[in-house]
Amino acid sequence: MSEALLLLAVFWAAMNPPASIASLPVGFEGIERAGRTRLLIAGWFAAGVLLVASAMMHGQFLELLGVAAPSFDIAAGIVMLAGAARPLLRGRAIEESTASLLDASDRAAIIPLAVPLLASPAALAAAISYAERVGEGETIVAALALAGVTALAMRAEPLLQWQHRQVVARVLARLTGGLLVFVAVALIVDGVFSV
Amino acid sequence: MADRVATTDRGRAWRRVGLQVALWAVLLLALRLTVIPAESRDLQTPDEMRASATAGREWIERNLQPDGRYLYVYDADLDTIPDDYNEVRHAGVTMALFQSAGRDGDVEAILAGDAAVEWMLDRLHRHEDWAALTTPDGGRAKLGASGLMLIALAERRLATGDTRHDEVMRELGRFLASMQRPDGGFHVAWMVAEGQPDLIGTSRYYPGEAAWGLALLHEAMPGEGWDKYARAASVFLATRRDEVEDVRFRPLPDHWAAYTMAEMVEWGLSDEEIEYARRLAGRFGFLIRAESQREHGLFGGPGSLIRVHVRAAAFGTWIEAMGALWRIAAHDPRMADLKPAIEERLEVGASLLANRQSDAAGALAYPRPGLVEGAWVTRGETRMDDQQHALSGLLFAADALEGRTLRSPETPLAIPDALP
Repeated sequence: MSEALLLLAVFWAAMNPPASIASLPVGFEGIERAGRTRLLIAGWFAAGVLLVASAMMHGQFLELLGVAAPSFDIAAGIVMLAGAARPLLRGRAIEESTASLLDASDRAAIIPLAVPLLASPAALAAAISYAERVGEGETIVAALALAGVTALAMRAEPLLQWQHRQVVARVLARLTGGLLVFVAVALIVDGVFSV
Repeated sequence: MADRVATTDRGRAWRRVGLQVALWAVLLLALRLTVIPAESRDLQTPDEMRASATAGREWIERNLQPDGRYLYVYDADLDTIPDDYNEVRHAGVTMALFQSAGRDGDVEAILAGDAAVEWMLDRLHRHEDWAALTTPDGGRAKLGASGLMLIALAERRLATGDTRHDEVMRELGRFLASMQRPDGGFHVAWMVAEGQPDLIGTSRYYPGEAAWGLALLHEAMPGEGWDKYARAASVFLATRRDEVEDVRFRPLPDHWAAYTMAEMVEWGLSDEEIEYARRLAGRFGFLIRAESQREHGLFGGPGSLIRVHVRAAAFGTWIEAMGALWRIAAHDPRMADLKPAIEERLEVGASLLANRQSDAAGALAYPRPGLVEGAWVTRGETRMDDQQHALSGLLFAADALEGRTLRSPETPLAIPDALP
């Protein structure tokens, strides 16, 4: 697998767009289209700042922690495993109560849209690990692209009726959660066996 | 009424967010304390590492017994010297002494090593055309003892250019070759009274010691065919040993195998051997990382999950292995990508090892400071192979960090005339 495909797969798993869609509250569709677009752009921007900062400052972050990159990979894998639990078990990215905060306000662009939906703990851990392993530029492009895809998916007009769409999204969310477990275990194993 | 319900729901939602943030914080804190505590990075320079190695060597010289044995073990807490000895470790310490002498040009080290060699020469068992070092009671000749004695003599030859023990080296080589099985592995020992090899016992580490000895013998006396045995042993180590020995967490962290392949890298290593060397680098890298994180974590950090306490006899072997693997990475492009990471592990690990050594001031706290100064004391005890492995590890780490790829001393010491 090429590095670009690997990064896309990792950030797809870490951001889990289907789980984000499955987490949208019923009222989200009631927000007027322009307001929803503004909200999603602001959320994507805020998440992007965090992801870019994580990727660009991976070296300083590891230095601050005082650990080697493979050791951090093990911890990042464990964070990803924790992040995979809800999508796997419940087919969604965040709890209903947290999702209820996703309204038309400016604050909603930060919480819960930017964090934890787009810049999830798993995605932030992936940004640090893969910036060290693959490179900052490629990691930033992949992270921003997948955050954009997730935001676009939340903005798109539903192809299916609300209820059917949620069912499909939850199935895909669980599959993507499984992918995140695979990525996490691979990262842990690689961390253990790396110099 | 509806507004009040909405406000209550919103408050509940924010409390849930707060709870989730708290749970993530607990997870991250737990990871910080157990999986990624900070490494001990009080880094030392190569010169400081060499000074530490010299202090270790001086401990060995200072505590050499009149009969040519070393002080085997000292319980510093109880101030006792248990009556115990091991000829395999005796040969290993002698090897380290000659390695150090070759770099420092210290005649005292050569003289001490020669006294230890005499002790071994007096305990050789000869059969047909070979010779093997026996246990102190003379009942068995372990493969590892003869392997390490051969290595010690090869290191002496590298250090001095003196060929007086060449015939003994050949005899030891013939013993190792006679013990080699068709699969490249070795029988574990020769049973003197029975006049046959032990066909039941096995050892995880003796094959590596034998392989390195045979590789060094080929280096010392090329053209005599010793490389054929060394190569077969190396392939066995790289491809079959872990399975034969039923090693659960593979590869076995065998620094002797790393030394062997580093010796053979100039002959050319197969892809299988390089792949094995890469896996060894990962294994030793993990061990060094875990050990260097021990001092800042909860319950001793991740290292404590693997083993309760690591003495220099173990920690030193990890540094030795990384030093050897560094030479492979410096020579073979198939390992070159690992060189920076190996250097980082070497610097952190060797520095930590040197920092754990007892200095003169610290030794004064013990009843017999001379038995502690320059030693690595773990749980109140120091054993001669603590000094051996730390000394060898620090020497090769310093070489690697200075980019010195030459295996042997720059020039043989001009001291044979000074020797008896």
